[in-house]
Amino acid sequence: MSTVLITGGNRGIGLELARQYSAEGWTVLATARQPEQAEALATLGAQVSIVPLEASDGASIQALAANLRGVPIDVLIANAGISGDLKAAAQAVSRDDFLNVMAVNVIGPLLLARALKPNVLLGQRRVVAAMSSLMSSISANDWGTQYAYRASKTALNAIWRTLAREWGADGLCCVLLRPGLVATDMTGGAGQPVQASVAGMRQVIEGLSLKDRGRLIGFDGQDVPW
Amino acid sequence: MPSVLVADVGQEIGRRFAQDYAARGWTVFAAGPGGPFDALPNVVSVSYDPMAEGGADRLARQLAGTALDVLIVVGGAHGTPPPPDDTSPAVWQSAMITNALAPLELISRLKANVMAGGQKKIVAVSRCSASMALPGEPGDYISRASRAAMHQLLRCIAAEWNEPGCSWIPICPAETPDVDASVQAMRQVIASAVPREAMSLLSHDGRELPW
Ligand SMILES: NC(=O)c1ccc[n+]([C@@H]2O[C@H](COP(=O)([O-])OP(=O)(O)OC[C@H]3O[C@@H](n4cnc5c(N)ncnc54)[C@H](OP(=O)(O)O)[C@@H]3O)[C@@H](O)[C@H]2O)c1
Repeated sequence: MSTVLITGGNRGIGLELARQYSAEGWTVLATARQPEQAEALATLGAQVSIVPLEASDGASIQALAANLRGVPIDVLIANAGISGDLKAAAQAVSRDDFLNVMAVNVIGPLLLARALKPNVLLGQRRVVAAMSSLMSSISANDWGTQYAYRASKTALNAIWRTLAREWGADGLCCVLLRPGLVATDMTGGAGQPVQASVAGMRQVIEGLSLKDRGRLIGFDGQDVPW
Repeated sequence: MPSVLVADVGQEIGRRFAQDYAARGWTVFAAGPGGPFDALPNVVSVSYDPMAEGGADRLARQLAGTALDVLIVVGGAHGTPPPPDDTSPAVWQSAMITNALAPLELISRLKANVMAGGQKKIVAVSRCSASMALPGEPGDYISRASRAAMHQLLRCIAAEWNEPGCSWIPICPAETPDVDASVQAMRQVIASAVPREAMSLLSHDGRELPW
């Protein structure tokens, strides 16, 4: 049976990923900052394990990796993310907010992927996915706003492109996913139902092969332009 | 004579830009943390530390009321570069500030100066390896990511300003040890730039690069 690790599994897209993968019989390792409060995850059944992770903290990532030493992971999904201050105009982008968004959305996924690479190498499917966004696209950015969030997802793309190139030789497929606008806490409930977005992304993941490494693929199977 | 502000002249490319424009008679505001930069009479040193919080505000106060034809922002952290795959907090935070956020801070604080200038050109010096479509250097996560982030920030602020008279010029130096030749080529690209609807990433000799 296959195993997926999902960060930020306690709500939103991560929770729905956990729900759908577990319903398909996968073993799910879902991370939460406060596992004891991850009530929705706890109802999903015995094949879902809740593991603690603060995604922006290198020590927490190392502890997770130590916890999971020798455990094969078929699909790793760096999903946890924050929006930061979406409304700040250029002059109002604060250093604290900018660096915090970078820590969670960019550096955390990189550290996580590096720390869990041995686990993914033990898996069969060898997929290392990160949750990007249409907002990462520079060429599609015609209206601005969302400075820190957009920049973080662009930076994430750049890192995943480098990982894809380096780790392809190990048979690892590093890809970026675009969920579309999805009705979660992050969007204040605006967007498509999370079930549809996650079903689409699962289908994309299912169809991946090594030649897809480095792509940014939407829930609809379409590539997003850089 | 036109005026240009170059920040940060502590970076070699910044220093060469400042020297090159000064030699052509431009009024050059040379901004950097490393003390006075006054090699030529028409160079005015202004103190600026991209890492310091509020550094852009202090620089903007020094330049209040000064028109700038061209604003050139060169990123880059000072000191010995860390190994490319170093992801310690000190390294990635410094890269994200000097390559991405500090350029945004500076450009946003100097809007009135740029809009008062005749040419209204905003130049951000990047690196080819930050282009998503081109192969990156192995292990180069942070530097590449921070420059890609800067491209996105530039797109955002261009949209926010929505000033059709501005030219936004993210440009990549040549991958050659001949910094002077690269700077001269970039200066020519800047000189011939005209406002365009969509901003593009440019090579040192003016070719469009993919984002
Ligand atoms: N929703 C959309 O329309 C949309 C569109 C494009 C991309 N995305 C991306 O998809 C991913 C999931 O988004 P979502 O809509 O599901 O957001 P969400 O509903 O706000 O959920 C975010 C999840 O990430 C976790 N998280 C946040 N900061 C964390 C940290 N420092 N350490 C560990 N976990 C952390 C949250 O845990 P806590 O409960 O502990 O905060 C939560 O589980 C994000 O990367 C987002 O950028 C979303």
